[in-house]
Amino acid sequence: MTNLWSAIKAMSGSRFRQMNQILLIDLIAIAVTTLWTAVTGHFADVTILSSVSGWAFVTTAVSFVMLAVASERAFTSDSLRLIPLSDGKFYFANLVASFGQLLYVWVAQAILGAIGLLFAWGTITRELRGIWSWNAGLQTPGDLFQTGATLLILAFMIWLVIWSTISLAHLVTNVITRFLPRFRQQVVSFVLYVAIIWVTIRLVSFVGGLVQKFSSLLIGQQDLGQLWIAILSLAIISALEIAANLFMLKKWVETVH
Amino acid sequence: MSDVLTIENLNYKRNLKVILHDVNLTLAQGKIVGLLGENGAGKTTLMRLITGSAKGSGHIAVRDLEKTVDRKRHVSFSEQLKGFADGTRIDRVVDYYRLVYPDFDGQRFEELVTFLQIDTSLKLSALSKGMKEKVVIALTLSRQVDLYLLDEPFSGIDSMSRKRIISSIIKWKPDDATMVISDHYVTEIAPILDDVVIVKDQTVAIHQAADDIRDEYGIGIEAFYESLYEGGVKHD
Amino acid sequence: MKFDDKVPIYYQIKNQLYHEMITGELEPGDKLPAVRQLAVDMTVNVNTIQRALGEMITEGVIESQRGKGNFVTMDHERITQLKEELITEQLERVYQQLHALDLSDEDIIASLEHFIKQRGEQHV
Repeated sequence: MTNLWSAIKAMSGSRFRQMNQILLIDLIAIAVTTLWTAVTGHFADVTILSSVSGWAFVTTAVSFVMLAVASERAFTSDSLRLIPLSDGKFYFANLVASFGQLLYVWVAQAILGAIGLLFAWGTITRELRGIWSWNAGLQTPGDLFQTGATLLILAFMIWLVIWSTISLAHLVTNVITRFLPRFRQQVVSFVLYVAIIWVTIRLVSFVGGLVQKFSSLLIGQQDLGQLWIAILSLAIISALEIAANLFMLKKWVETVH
Repeated sequence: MSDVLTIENLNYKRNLKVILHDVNLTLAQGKIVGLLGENGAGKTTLMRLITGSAKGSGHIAVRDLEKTVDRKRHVSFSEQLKGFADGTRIDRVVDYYRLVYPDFDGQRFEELVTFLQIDTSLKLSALSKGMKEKVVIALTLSRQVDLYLLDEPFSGIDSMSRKRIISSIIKWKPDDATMVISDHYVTEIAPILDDVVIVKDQTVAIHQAADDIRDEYGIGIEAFYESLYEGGVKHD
Repeated sequence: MKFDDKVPIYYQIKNQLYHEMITGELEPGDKLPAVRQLAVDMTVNVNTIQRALGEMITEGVIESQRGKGNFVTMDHERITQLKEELITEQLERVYQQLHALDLSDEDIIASLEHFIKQRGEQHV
């Protein structure tokens, strides 16, 4: 039996190389933008920070999509599914491998941001002083930590739900194409896509609601408990989706060779 | 002699179409078995069902173990490395195999690489069809398992590569392991087969020892196989 | 080695080895290559080699020594006998076929003599 850690390592390898490619392109883009600004004579201490944050959205979005594709391909790839690993462990290893790489990209972005921040320190502290003094009375360091930790957990749960939903959509489509004759496949797939789009919209509005709650939390003093209820409901959704995914993997999902 | 593979009442449908129907097959250990049948007869599907890559109904046991994960542990299938990006170097694929298959024997792989004249620094995209198949065979045979499944290892391959691959099979197949080789062109491999299994009409139509066929009918395996498709030879 | 796909492979392997023994390629007491090596040399299955050797051991043409391998028998008489067996077998086939052409025994002898004489002239 393959041990779990080896499986995670094996699945991470190619994703790590992909992420490095994206980060390399990101770095080049940042360098080009910064140089261009310098050439045109508009270089300021915040230039690096703004090009880092400007490209950060593209980088994280592209890496997200590529990891999702890699994750979903894993379910139907012989090279991966032939590994002697139970479906549960396989699913877990796949999830961890993608999350690890996602984290890697975000940490890399944070480091780039920190470098940008270092250059922009003078301007930033001037600007921030105002906000700091305005917000100072509201949060103690303990509160800040608690809020931060809760937010991280929330962010993770949101990611997990999105990830499980993508898998759910993919695996359901896969199973349908296996069972139905070609004509009916198209009809059902269409209905399915509509349903998935609807669910996604619902999900987005739900997440939007969470963000609203969070912003009101920062400004007014809302109870963190409400956030935890949201986290719990996200956890339940993803647990149900993962259970459904595992069931399909075990019973029906075949590799495409 | 104990059995390596037992298949009972195996059925498989895809898109409401029957691909395999009521397949029963038992393979003893230590054999080289030719899995013959027309293109699309279901040979690949049968192999994929054994590895658990395809899901049917019925019983499949490898060394009496039915759970998919246990079967994967005991079966080495000649998968075509499609899960790897084209730019992946063979070395990397080997690292991957070492990592995920605890039974991967690095030394055996080195021997096979030398014998089959493989350059492991090449990228997958740079390989000719024959070379790619050699890599697949080397990887598949380097695992130490009870059942090896080689899916059409000779299709579209030059005769020199074919001969090398056949020799490597004879040299490196462990004595008590069984190997199934699927092919729709028989002559080349006929001399190395212990048993012949023919898939026809969505099921296993024949399972017989190769030399028994020659003894009993006085014809070659190829002729026997063809006559079966033409309905010439009577069988029980 | 090229095989006739119509004839059981183990039988053809036996014939090949007999041939080597009679022509002296394999001498009495010679050690045969290892089973797997034989299989690789002849491009056949290990099991088929084992079956051929097994039968030859039963026939007393090959002797198996535990842990050492297989050896051609030292019994010269057995090899002479083997040669006779093979000659008989070949003659049997020719005889059957000529007989089937409605030749009498005398006709067969006559045509054989004629054939050999003619061949001899061609080759001198």
